[in-house]
Amino acid sequence: MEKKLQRDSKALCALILVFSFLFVAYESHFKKAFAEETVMSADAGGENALQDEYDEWTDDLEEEESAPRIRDPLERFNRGVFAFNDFFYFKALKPVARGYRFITPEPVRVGVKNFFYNLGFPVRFVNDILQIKFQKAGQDTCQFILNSTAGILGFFNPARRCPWLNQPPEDTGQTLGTWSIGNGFYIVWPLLGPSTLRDSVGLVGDYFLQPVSYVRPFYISLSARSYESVNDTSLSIGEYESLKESALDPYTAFKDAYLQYRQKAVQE
Amino acid sequence: MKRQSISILLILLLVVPVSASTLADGAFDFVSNSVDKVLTILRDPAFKEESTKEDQYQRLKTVVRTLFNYDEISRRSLGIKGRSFTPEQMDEFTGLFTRLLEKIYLNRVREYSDEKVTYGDTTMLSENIAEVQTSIVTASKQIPIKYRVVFRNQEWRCYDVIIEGVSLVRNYRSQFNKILQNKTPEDLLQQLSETVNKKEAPTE
Repeated sequence: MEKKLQRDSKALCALILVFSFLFVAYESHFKKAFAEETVMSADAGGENALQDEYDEWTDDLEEEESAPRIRDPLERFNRGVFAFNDFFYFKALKPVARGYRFITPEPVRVGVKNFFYNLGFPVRFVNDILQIKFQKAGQDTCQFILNSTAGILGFFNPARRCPWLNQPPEDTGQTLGTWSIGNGFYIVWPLLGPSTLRDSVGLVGDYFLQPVSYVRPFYISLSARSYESVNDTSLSIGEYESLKESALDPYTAFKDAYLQYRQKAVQE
Repeated sequence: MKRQSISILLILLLVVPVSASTLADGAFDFVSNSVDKVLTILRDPAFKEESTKEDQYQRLKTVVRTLFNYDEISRRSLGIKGRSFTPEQMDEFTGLFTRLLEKIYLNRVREYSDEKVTYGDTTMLSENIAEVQTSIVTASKQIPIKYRVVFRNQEWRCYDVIIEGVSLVRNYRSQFNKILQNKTPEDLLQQLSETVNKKEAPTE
């Protein structure tokens, strides 16, 4: 017992030593960096500048910590799939979506989008329950009932008028996230796009909760899914392009955007 | 004595929320005024002609210059990695990145000229930093856009835009970090100028 105590205290001392060393090292680095900054900005302004530089520096550190980080062991493979998806978008999906957009008026396409969203109600409802968000489950149910009846099978979205009923949708990947399951690593799936290990498991869950998945024969179900994605694309042509164009490294830009987007979705 | 402390408490209670809310109001006014100015220029029928587009672009640029603090955005986007930049490189970086951001922001904003912009809450994130929530409402969806603004030298300036939960600054930082992992600041500047000067591919 005594021995253990002795060992513990020794370990504690060592730990304190290590930490104080780290702290001193950090401090001196910090001061050096700080000094450099102030020299650089000496002409920038009065006394405020000092405090401001300090603020920025610490803000950056804080943000750095909260920024989503993820391992990417499959990067070479992922970059290949990313290039394939990019090619597929420009050579197949976009031309088809443009043709479809040309022959289909916008209100119809918005209606189709609403219809599919309304049909995905089980995904949202089950995941609300799994995340113990009962109020949200109620709101989603009200939205579903209202849009299915007054909105004629969900083609119209009368629930849009009541902001209270429009909650950000939940899915299985988010449920796993709220259960403190980490992202795992980053994966880019052919056609499906950016995902993570956790969200891929989530996609399987969503598949089983989607009524469209139970339509038989399977090719009708598949066609419905493809039609949904063509319809969605027809409403968002240009978004992918502008994000890609504004990036220096599109692969990293989309990866980071996906992770930030999902992090926010899990938190909501 | 007791009475005095109570009155002090009362004064504190009254003063603190008021000062906080006026600051938040300031942030809100700053963002909504700037956005409204941008929208007014975008919707101005005088700029419908193709020949006046350049003039419109210049006027938008002036408004956007007072909205964003490009120096701060540049520094935040580089993060700690910015320490390996010489002052000259930093200046060049800020110049190029400013041009890139202007191009992106103005191009995006033009796409949304007919949509409605709604304003949400303003929250103070710290003493002098606020987040103003806005959203763009299109026929098929609602895109939440948050402006992070900082009060410094007696004026508000925007230092980050968060679109659907994706922070612009963080997104660029992830890219710059990735590039600087095995390349020099010089290479990054080269790559940045290539991106800025790239001819715009038609989005349609």
